[in-house]
Amino acid sequence: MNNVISSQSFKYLRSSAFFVMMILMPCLAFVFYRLADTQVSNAPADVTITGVQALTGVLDGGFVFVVIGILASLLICSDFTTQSIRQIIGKGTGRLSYTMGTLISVFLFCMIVILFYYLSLFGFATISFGKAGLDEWRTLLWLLLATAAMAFFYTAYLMFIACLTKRATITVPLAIVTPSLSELLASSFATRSMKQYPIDLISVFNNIFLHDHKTCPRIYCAIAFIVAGIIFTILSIIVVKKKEY
Amino acid sequence: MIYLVIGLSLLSLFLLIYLVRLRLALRNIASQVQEMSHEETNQLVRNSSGQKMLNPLINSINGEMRELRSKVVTAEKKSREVRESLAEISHDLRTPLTAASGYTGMLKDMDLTDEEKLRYLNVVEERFETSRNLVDQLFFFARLESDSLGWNEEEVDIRKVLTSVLAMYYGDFEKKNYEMQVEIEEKVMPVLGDTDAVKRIFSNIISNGLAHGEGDFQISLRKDPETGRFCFRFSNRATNITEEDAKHIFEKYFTKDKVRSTSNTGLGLAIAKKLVEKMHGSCSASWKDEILTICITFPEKELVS
Amino acid sequence: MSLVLETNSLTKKYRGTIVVDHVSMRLEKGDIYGLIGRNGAGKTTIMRMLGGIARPTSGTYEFFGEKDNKKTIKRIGCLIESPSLYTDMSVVNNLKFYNKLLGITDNSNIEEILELVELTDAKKKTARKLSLGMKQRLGIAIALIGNPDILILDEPVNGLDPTGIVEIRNLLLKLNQERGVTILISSHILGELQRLATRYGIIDKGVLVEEISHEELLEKTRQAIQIDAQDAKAVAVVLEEMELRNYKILPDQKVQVFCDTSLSGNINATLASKGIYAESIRVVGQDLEAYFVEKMGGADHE
Repeated sequence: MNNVISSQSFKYLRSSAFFVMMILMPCLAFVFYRLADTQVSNAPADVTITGVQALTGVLDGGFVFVVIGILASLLICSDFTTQSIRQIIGKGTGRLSYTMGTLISVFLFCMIVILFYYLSLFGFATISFGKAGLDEWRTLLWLLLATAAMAFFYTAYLMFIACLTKRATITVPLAIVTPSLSELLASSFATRSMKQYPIDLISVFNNIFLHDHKTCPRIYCAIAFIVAGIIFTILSIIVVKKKEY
Repeated sequence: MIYLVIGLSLLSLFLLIYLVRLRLALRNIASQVQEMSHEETNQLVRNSSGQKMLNPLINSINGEMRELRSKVVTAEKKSREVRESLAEISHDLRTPLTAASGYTGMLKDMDLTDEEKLRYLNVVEERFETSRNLVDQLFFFARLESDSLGWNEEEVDIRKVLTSVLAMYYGDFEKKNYEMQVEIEEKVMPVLGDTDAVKRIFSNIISNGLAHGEGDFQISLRKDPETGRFCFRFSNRATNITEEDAKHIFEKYFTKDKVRSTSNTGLGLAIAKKLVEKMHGSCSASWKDEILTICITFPEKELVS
Repeated sequence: MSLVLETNSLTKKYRGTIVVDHVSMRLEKGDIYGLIGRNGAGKTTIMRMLGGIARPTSGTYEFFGEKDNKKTIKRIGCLIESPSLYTDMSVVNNLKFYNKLLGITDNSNIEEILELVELTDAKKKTARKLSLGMKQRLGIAIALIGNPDILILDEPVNGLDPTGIVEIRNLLLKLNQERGVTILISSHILGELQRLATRYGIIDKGVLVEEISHEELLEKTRQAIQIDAQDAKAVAVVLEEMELRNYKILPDQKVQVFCDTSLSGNINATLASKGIYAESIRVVGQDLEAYFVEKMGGADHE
């Protein structure tokens, strides 16, 4: 599995998807920050915002999902669109090693991209307000946990879809649409009593670091993501073992 | 205090894991080498542990294996060549000897006329001649390859040798009604080599041409203005070979039609080439517009000494 | 001679249709095995099974005499259907990727391989920008990573121009002769395999119709007049008399004469007049292409 991680990382580092994302992150961070900035500048003058507050304020769960979704699906599908999966398996890479190794590799690269985004947002805010607000490091940790758990879940989910369909044309759109889809399903089918808990993906994510559904402990949401991630990992492993390429 | 304890235990845990992984990696390498020693394979040792520090070890093991294998490959190639040679030889001898044997059997038949007996005896003689020729050539070739040939290094007047060889074959050319154009320069530098070898070079090439060529013989011995070296050129018309064949005519046993006969042992040109190379010269052949040209370049005397 | 590959009734069914029908092949070390058959005869499917990509419906295969196929997969290199290249990466990086994947510690093999497939000049080029022939060669290069002992190549000269085909042929011969690499190569064009293969496996509609070595094939297809008589020597004598010197005496008292086949009547008559009665005198051999066409039930030949 070591070798899979090492070789996949070598490849992802040189992929255009990763490169574009890394360039895009600070740009988008800047754009979103500017949008939020107008709101802030309308606030009373004695209210100061810290870098951390800005970060958690500007951050949009849906955006994070989409970014990770697109990157992860593109990276995972690169093996399928080029039929390289055949060569990889054909040279003796175990199917389990491949699944786990690719998953870990993609997860790492998604984390790098998203953390870069956070860093950019944080950077812009701190520069313009001059206050980093690092005494709120607990929030940052929760954010980190939220991102990691969610990235793990989402990459595992996309791994499953990609290995099942072997097509980027299905996986990438699905990656973009899933969070909104979950929102739609939640609002259509959830009963009143259910709505006090976070149900759709974005809410779960937000709850972990914002704790906006006070009735639901943050840690449970994180665990939910992790468990879902594990389930999808197992499903992916099964799919890869069974499929013929 | 408690932090120190926790810290140290974590550290020792990590060290322990590291050591275990290292051990496993080493054992993995050992088993790979073991497996490879049982099989004839091109595989090399791979690093599946992710521990980069083992790479130098693996690289040196692989280096040794590569060297060992290339030696094995060379040795096998040589023994294969020997086997092939032996097979060819036995095949080539079987055919004329069987025929000769057949004829001697027939000779025992009392009812033959004197004329028939003479004819059969001629055939037997010719067949034996073929076999003997082949054996001679092979023996010569073997000695040449193993470098155990007597070699008398002296200054050879190639002009003189060529003219004497031409004189030797003149009668044969006349018999077949072939025209021959000869162009030999007056002043030809002597070359360092063995006189008999030079004689054999010229005579093998000329007799080969005589046996297979179809006319338009041209022989020249001239100084090449560009390189200053002396070039012996022999060309003749040859319609039954191709450009591709011309590249192979110096190969051992190369014959266009797969039958050996008195004059066609397939070794003549191969011997010539070896002798030329022994004298530090070079030879080449080309075929264009149905004309086959063989070219021998002799080195300058200075180079050889 | 050691067996590199042995398949036993290898069968593959796709949705009820039998695509590969109980194929039992044998490859020995150093063979260049030409799998020949029409398009759709089942060649690619066989190779996919042997390459570990598809699972056989029934039957087994064994590499290097080892029952556990997971152990021998390291020693196999494949190029099946089109080459699998990462279009975004350069030629060198494509190869480095596989080096890393396999745990190969020293990248010097890449230089060697690039030289073998003649892509040294293109090593920094992005895979997307390569011509078809170069892509094919890169595919072969990838198959060569890991020093395989057997190469499984599915129509590797597909889409190459004549120079390209010659280059690949020379490359394969070199690998086979200098490094002892066994090669399993498939094609639907006889001409491609003729100068390369040491053995042939003829496939028609999923069935392995015949396995034959190159020498046997030449024997079967070289035209000559074959005389089966009691005494080869006596026959030889008569031939000499008839000035038919181009003959070969086989170990079992048979004589093969390489001459105009219309002379067989003449020869028979002459032999009879000398009191030699041949058990049989016939023309042996068949045109090479005709032979294959017959076996394959109609083939493509160029």
